[in-house]
Amino acid sequence: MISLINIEVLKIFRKWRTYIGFIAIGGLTLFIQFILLSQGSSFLERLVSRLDSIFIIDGNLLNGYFIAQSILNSLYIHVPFLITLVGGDILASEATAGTYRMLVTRPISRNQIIFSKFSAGFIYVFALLSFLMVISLFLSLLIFGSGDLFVFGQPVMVFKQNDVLWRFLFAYGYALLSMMTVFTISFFFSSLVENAVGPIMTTMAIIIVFMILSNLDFDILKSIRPFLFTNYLPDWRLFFSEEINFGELLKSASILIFHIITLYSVTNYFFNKKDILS
Amino acid sequence: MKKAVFLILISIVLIQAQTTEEIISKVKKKYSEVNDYQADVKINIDLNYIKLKNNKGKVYFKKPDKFKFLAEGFGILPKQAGNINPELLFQKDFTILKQKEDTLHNSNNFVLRIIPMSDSSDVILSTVWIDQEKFIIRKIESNSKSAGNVEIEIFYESKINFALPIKIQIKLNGGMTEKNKENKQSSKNLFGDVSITYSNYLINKGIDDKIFLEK
Repeated sequence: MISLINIEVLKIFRKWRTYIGFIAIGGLTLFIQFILLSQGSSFLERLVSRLDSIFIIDGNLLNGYFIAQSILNSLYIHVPFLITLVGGDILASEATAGTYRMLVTRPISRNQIIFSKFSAGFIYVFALLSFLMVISLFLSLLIFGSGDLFVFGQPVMVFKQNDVLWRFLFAYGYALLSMMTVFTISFFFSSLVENAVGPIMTTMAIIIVFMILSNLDFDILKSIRPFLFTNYLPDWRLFFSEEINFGELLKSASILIFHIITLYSVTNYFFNKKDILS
Repeated sequence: MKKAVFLILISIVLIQAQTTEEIISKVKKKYSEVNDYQADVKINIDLNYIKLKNNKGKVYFKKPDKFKFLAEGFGILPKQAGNINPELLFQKDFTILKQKEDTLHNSNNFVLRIIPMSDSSDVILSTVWIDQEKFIIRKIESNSKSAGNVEIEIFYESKINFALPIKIQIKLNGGMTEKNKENKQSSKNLFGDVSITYSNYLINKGIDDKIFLEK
């Protein structure tokens, strides 16, 4: 099984589209870091000036944690789209290339094929998020140093330096679950068709529509919202609250895991029933 | 017995007879005993706009009005409560009236009302509770245009040598001025509690002016 997963990982990383996510995240993160390095203090002065009339302010907010949080905040909407580029291609590309027949006639079960492809997808998602963590968190800490984390929200929160790193690690852990949900959706659509464009576009469309529905503040949508998986994708942000609502986090994580298991099972079922002869 | 009653009556009459000028002069004298100090502070901020727990730092004060707050990491300190300075509180362009007497923190207090003479003053009205025995400020209620209502309660050690607090509790119920990208000002609601705990005082040991210049 391990050699099967290795082969699937190799297949993923031999494709040019796999690196689009790494290039996009790397380029954007380095650009943001450069901008903040050259103009960061004035940017933060403007943000903090709200407090000027009432408070005496001391300390530096421009540190690695602040930058990592800002990058994570601005990228979490876009990373799913990068994931679908690989997820939507992983099965459909076999159909496009005509290699399905060769694959399923080997002495391995269809369940093993699906499991190895899904595992390879997990490794890709893990690698992409690890890359995001290294470049946005650890590189930012190296360039800008450490410090207290200032989180702009309602209300503004300030976390002490020694209370931050674990929040990031758990947030990335939750983000892995979120992104695996997105991957599994594109993986499912990829098993239905013979061209990667369809599953990629369909997954993107679903994410866009669901995200809009999740954010529209209409009363009629309040009853629908709990059934949209996009409602639970950004809950990694709960780790950056004063008192973490573990009950809410557990509920969100369970819903995402339910999506992953259900979609994986359905994909496995369809792949086992797939007609590869005609 | 008669003598004791007579002495109590005399002291009550004397206390009542004190004019606002005398009270303020005694308060200023009490506070003037401190030429400089530094202390560790622990600040807890629980406001609707910002929450910050275990915000630690050091405060430095030097006569007449030099004040500096240096945080461990990042920190904020309310401007109105960071430095209780009667020289700033009882200024000449204010009318000060003795309103009543009141009991607070197990002590009898004069209650003074401070009304600004000028319309342009940010402060609309302040009420100050002053301990009748020790001439220290125990409470300030202030209503200002920029910050709304602010209630500051000041706690001291039971045996105090200097008019320096061990704890200050602030209740904010008003607003703050916010600048947008075009530098235009707008106000925002701000309410909640702030507490400041002081420890490790170093009083009248001399403080280098350089500390107040550091950014």
